[in-house]
Amino acid sequence: MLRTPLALGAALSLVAGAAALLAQQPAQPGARSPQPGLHWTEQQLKDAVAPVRVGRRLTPKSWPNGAKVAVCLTFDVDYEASDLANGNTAPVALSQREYGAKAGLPRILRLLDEHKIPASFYFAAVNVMLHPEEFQEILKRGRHEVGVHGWIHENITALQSEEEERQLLNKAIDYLTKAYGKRPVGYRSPAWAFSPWTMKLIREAGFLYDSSMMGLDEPYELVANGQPTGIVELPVEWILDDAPYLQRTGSLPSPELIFKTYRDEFDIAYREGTMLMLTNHPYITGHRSRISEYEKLVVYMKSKPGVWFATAEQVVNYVKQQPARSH
Amino acid sequence: MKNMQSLRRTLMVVAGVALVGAVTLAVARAQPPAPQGERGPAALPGINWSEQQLKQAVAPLRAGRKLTPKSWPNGAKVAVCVTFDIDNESPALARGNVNPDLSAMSDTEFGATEGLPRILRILDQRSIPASFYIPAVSNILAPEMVTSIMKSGRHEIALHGWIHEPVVTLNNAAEEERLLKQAIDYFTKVAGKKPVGSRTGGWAISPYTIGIEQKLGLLYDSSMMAMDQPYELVANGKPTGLVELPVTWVQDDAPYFGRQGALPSPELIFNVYRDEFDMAYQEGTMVMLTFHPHVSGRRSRAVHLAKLLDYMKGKPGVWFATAEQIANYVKQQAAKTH
Repeated sequence: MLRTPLALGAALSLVAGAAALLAQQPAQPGARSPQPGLHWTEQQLKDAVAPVRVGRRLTPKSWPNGAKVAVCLTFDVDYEASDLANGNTAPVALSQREYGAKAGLPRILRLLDEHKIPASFYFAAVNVMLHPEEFQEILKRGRHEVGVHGWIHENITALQSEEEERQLLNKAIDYLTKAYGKRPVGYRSPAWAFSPWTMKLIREAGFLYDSSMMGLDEPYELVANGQPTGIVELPVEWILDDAPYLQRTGSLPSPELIFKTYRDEFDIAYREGTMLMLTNHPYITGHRSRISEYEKLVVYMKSKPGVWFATAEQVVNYVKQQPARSH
Repeated sequence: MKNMQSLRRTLMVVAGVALVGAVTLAVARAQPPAPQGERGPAALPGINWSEQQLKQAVAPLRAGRKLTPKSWPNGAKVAVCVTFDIDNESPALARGNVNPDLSAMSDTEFGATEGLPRILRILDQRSIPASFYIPAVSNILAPEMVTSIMKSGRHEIALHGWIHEPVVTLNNAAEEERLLKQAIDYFTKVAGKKPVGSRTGGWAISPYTIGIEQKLGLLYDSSMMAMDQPYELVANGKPTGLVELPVTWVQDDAPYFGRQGALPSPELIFNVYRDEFDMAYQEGTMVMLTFHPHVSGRRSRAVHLAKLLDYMKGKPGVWFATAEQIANYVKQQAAKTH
């Protein structure tokens, strides 16, 4: 089959390369070799996806007071932290994020107040440190939840060790516990990334739920290497996040059209009786032309009978108590 | 268009890299040597910074007190500042005009030949004042621009660098000052009045920019983004006395209409500006719009610019003003209450 010694040599070095890769770890992303998965066995393929998987669905037979759908409005309060993590201190870029605290968040809180809607706010601890007064404004409402979004919005897949990730996570939990006045029960990883250690670390830290994965569009139990973890996943999606659309690199298209997408997501969630999880950023959706569309969406959802607006924590506590509906 | 956008992107990146370098050096001096384990050069330097270091990193330029007055002139509800950055050929020339494609430059030449005259017609028909931020070189190449802008006596001529220079890449206080001073001298001569406001090329600010603007006696800056109303710039905890009339990519035509911009419909984009205006009106603050004659001077966009102006003019209590007028007004009002 191998027609020339050259081809034989090439094939041998490929095999050797593949073997070296396999010896490392099949699931390791970022390997330079093109398409290493071509050489994986069935067992290796199954192992590669096993670390974090979708377990049983947790949508209850009915939501509180017979509501048809749960709506979870969440905000990833990413101010300057991610820039600072990278060492980027360009003043104009920082001011673009400072806007989130100074102009975006106040507007979002006002809107939530007007509609008496609870929401979940995920914070990197450093963003609380830089804007303590704005953080108090959230707590003052007494209605909102605060969850963990890293120490400094660190890219956890770029960290070098389990210990480093653990230290940053614990530092974040400690800082936020002090600022929040209670220990946060929810984790949302910065940039929705999981390292090989994240699952283990959030179990260790005793989180009630995670909100970084994308395996369904309803609550489910996370399964780690075949074992149910007891941790509830409230899944997110890039489709339901403002950043990919409305950041500068997202070319800032029309909020009008984007919020129509969210509305369509809601309509089917309503019909299917599950949940809608929206993720917005104060420095993005807090702009006037976006918050006005966001408000239209809130008004639209409120106009339907049987919509339960709840924090992620409330949704999780509820699905944990209730028997899941049969599928 | 594409050039300008990619220049801005490049500038952001260069700015980032340059500042990362500066900060890394500063921090390396400030902290005990980082443990050099398996990591190698720190990929995420910020994760090891102390609270003090984090606060220092953001301190060079922050939002100070809000300057929106109790009321705008004649009891107006909102101030509307229509501005144009006449970049034209300057960004490409700053880089040495390395593009061998002679057609590329014509896309920005359009700003002077068709874009600006069309825009001036639209403004004049409605008697709306505007501020024009012009790199001196753009005007040297088409000197009729300033002449035509000044004809109505309504508009402001303001600074946008000597040649739209990327001040962060420049990273040289003396050179930056020399270029800005050269631009001030040029416009003082051709416009007969010293400009009072600056908007940096590519909306990037070096560690020296604000000090230079203060030293050269400017009234305001318009390159930062921390609010959508006027505020005072605070540098390392000290109020600078400089008024910031903030901009944002949300209200800049370039990211939308670049060749790589995603949205083909000017109508939807101008709906965004309309929504921005509506809420500014409701909140009683201001709208700062940034256009480029070579971008929004195109017919399909100019039509919507005109519609937007008509929409805003149709509301009672809208104060159309130049940035200079707004900066002067908020400064006087703030002085009264303090």
